[in-house]
Amino acid sequence: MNDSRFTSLSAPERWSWIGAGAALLGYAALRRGALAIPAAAAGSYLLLRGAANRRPGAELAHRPGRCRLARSVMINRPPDEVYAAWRRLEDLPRFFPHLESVTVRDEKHSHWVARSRLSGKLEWDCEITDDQPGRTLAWRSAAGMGFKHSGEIHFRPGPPQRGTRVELRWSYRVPGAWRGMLALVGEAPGQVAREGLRRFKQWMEAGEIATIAGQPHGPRTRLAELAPLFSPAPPVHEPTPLRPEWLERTGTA
Amino acid sequence: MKALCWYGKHSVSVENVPDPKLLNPRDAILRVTRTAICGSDLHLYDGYIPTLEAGDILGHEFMGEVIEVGSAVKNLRVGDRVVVPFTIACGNCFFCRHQLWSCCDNSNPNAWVLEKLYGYSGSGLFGYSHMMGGYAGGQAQYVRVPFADVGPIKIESDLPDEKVLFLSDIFPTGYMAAENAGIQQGDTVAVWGCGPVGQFAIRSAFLLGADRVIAIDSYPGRLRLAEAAGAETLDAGEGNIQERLREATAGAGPDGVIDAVGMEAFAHSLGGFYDVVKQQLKLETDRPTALREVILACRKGGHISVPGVYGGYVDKFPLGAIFGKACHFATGQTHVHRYLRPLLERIERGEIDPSSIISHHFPLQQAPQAYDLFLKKKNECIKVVLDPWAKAA
Repeated sequence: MNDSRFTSLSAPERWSWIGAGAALLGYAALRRGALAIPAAAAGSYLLLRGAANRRPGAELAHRPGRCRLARSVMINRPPDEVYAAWRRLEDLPRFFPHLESVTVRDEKHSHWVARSRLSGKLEWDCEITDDQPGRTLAWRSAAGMGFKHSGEIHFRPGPPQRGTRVELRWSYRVPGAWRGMLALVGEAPGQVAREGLRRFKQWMEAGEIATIAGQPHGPRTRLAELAPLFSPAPPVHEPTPLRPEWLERTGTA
Repeated sequence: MKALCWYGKHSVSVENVPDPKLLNPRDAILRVTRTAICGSDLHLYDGYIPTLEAGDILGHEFMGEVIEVGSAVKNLRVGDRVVVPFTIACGNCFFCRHQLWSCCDNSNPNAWVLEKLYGYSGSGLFGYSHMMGGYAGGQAQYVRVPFADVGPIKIESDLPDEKVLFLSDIFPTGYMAAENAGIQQGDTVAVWGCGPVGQFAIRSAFLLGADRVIAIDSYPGRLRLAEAAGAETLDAGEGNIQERLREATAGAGPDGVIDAVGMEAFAHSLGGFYDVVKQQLKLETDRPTALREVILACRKGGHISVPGVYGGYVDKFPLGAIFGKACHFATGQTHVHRYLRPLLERIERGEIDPSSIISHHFPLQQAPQAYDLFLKKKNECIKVVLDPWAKAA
């Protein structure tokens, strides 16, 4: 197996990483100041990787592994209506704020643009591989572009009077080292899926998506301004118009 | 506009902030005519509720005049006079449809935070931290009201603001607490805490047919107000509550018990000191000093009602006593929407005058002093009502 994650190091290389790590730690301990914290962090990392007999940085070079996730939500509307709303792919950016746009080219093909805090702008083409109205939609991203993944979403009748059970499944590749960082900036795929489904449910049931973006507040301190950067649920800045079918179908207003 | 903003523990100030705008189609904007400081605002003021951000506008008890409605709000018109429930609810999810309005699935934009703490998130609230939705509150001259087509109740009679304002929170909260006490004919109900929620719990218990209500507190002014509502009173500072309740109920214990004290309980006892220390050391988030006493006092098969507020984790919770006595236990954020219409009718029929518990009026400008007064219970402060438009004295 030629996987650098699992290859042992030669003794001289191993001891040189440990030595470098110890030297950085020593530097941090003796010379306090602005550099001490990064030096201590880098030193600990090198020391631990050396001790574990693995080359530092190997996780970055590693080919991304395949990940799968499934997230589901119960939506208090019938399956046909829920499917139809999801099938308007150009509306999906309302629920997934990392998506900038979805352009539908034809029945099967669409073009997707997303913006990630970590990797910047991502673009990919998508092809629908299975489409059963009121039940299932499956798709796959084109090879070699943007977010490489395939996905499917199922709409099944829930228990009596409970609406539709919606299950979203993604299968994707993300480099291992990125996964932790994605979670830090609120872009871990599991969080993105969960928050997207939550907003989709709000749109279906309440006709709009709950938001506080744009409401007044007193002067903020610096720390409070930073807080939204780490939210897995970035605020929807575009006000959402009412879901067109909402008034007639829910009949509440 | 002017609004009361939170800046940290025991630090609030009135700031000039932008006026609120309609953000969603089901929003409305109110010109606030009266607002109040709630006992639960003191938990924010004391810094016990996390995820507030400096600059957040507080306040969840308010009423006002509609000045703008979103495109989907068909039941309100500009000029309508409304009281707004402090819980924000969509009206269409499973929970709203089952009258569990404070459990609404669709009104908390930050539900993920509360899910980490509670497993699942309740509804969004006005002015009560970002994990509860982060909605700007109503201790301000104007406020944005989401889902205005299902929340606010129109006041069409000429009842003064002071008589209907408390429909927004404490009257329904006290009423639901009394409902949760499972009152039957002939019942004796004991209420710990004679602050605003306790006062409404006492009055509601009588409305629901309680034979006797025993009110417990250590502030003489609050006990007098409870007495005026027909309750018998026990001063918590004067000896063993358990013994005195046992005697008062001929050895049986109260049929229903209500903890209207919540997470910042005080007690003149070793137990009370224990909780203060543990909370300061962050070993527990809430002080369940009153709750333990409530549970121990409940009669066998009786009803324990907890209107709260509790926020996190408590220690030495006497679950064995609840089990061993086969008690019912009911709690929860108030499903305010349920109670608006029936309680407004009770006010209109003159069965209750909610304004009787107001002890102080202030202009919004002086809200910081009012918070301090209410926290320290100075000048027999029980309930403060703020006028957002009055000039500071």
